[in-house]
Amino acid sequence: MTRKQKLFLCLAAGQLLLVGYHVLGLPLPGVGNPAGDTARWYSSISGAHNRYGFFKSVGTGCRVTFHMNDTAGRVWTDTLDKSGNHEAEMRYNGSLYMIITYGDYLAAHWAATMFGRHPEAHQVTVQFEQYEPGSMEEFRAGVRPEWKTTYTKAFLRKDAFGF
Amino acid sequence: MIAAASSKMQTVKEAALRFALAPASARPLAALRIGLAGVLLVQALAVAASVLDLFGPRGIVQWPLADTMVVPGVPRMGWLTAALVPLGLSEAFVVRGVFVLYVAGLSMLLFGWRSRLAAVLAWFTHLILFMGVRTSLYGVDDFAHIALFYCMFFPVGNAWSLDVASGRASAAPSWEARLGLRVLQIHLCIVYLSSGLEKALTPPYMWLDGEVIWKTAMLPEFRQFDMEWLAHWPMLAKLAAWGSLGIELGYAFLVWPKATRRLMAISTLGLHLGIAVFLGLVSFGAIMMVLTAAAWLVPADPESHHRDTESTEKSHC
Repeated sequence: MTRKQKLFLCLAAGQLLLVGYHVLGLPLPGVGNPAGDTARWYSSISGAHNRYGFFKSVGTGCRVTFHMNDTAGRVWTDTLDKSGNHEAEMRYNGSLYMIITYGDYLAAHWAATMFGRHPEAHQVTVQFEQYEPGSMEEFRAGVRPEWKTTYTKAFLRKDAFGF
Repeated sequence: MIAAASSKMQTVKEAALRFALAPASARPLAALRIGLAGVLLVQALAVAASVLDLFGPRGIVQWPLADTMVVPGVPRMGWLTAALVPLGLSEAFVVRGVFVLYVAGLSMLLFGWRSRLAAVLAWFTHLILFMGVRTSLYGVDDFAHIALFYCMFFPVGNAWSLDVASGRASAAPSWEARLGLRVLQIHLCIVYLSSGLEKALTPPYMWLDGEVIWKTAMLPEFRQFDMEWLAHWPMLAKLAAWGSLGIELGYAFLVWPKATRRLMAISTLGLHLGIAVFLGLVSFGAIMMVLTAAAWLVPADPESHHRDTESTEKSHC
């Protein structure tokens, strides 16, 4: 075995060990620890940091609707996704679930997008809804899933205050 | 007795080295390169009109929030704009420029032109575009990123490429191709086994009673067909869930023996085809199909490489 083969074999083994380490959910040394920071950085750029638990359970569906109004009293709505294709739609909707973690901070980002799209809007109200599909048994018993509003927040354009 | 143990150890070591380093054709890795670049190019076409919304500084999630989700030290778009905006370029221009470079890298990769450089370009631009704005990504991006990372190191341009046609790369079987293929194969086994175990062992055990199939089919974001009838056939939902679990849990064990390899690989392709059709996750399904097809269905043994090369030469004569 040549020196190059030994080196590449070690690198390959190291990569796969790191993949396995992350899959097992084992902890890395804390933030600020050089070994831990290096492992996190390398894992992130190589994609070794995943656990691959896709669809291990299914929660609620969610959607967000923006209600705009202007100073003349006109009211209209919009959604984040403007793409018209499923691939891009998945990405537009990628941030929706994060409202649970980021709350008003994320809603403010969405509202800013809407103020950018609709310069005439004086106010944007973010309406976040969730959809619980229910079980097969519930469906057979006649229960039908429906959208429920679980978060709303109104944002006013800063210059609306005349400061 | 010590001599016998030593001899056995030597035999095991030689077998392990043959497993990892015996010369192999680069064709499986070339299939990975072509399939991956093809799928990602189609995906790029789908998001091209939304680049600024998804990745721009004032997109649906602005950079200050997106940056909090990126590991410190990992390159991100903000670094590029910080360097280029003082030169007179706008942030939007930089974002669009990176996207164009991403498409260029994938196109070079597809044809195997300067494959190594193409892989580096595609991986880096994918990293700062897709992985740098984690609010705009989903499962497919993680696998695309892993595969692009491997393309930088594997000899993906050593078959079916302009690099070979122009004489820049050799199509001869190599140990690098074998090692690359083994890394891909083992990584896929880890992916499927862990995915299967997480599904089977995570409360409330939706995969065991089939509820996961029902709920996923009913969620508006995944609903492709009217599946309400499934509620009256719970056994069918259970069978679909158990079938998926069986494939994921069996993958790591049944894809290695020659007798079951093809069946296992084709079953996995069927699983991902089903995900693409019934959940609308087309690019995710396509990437996973590319990975399994490249790893297990494209012959890597040097004998098949020589047979094919000879028959091509004869037909040219």
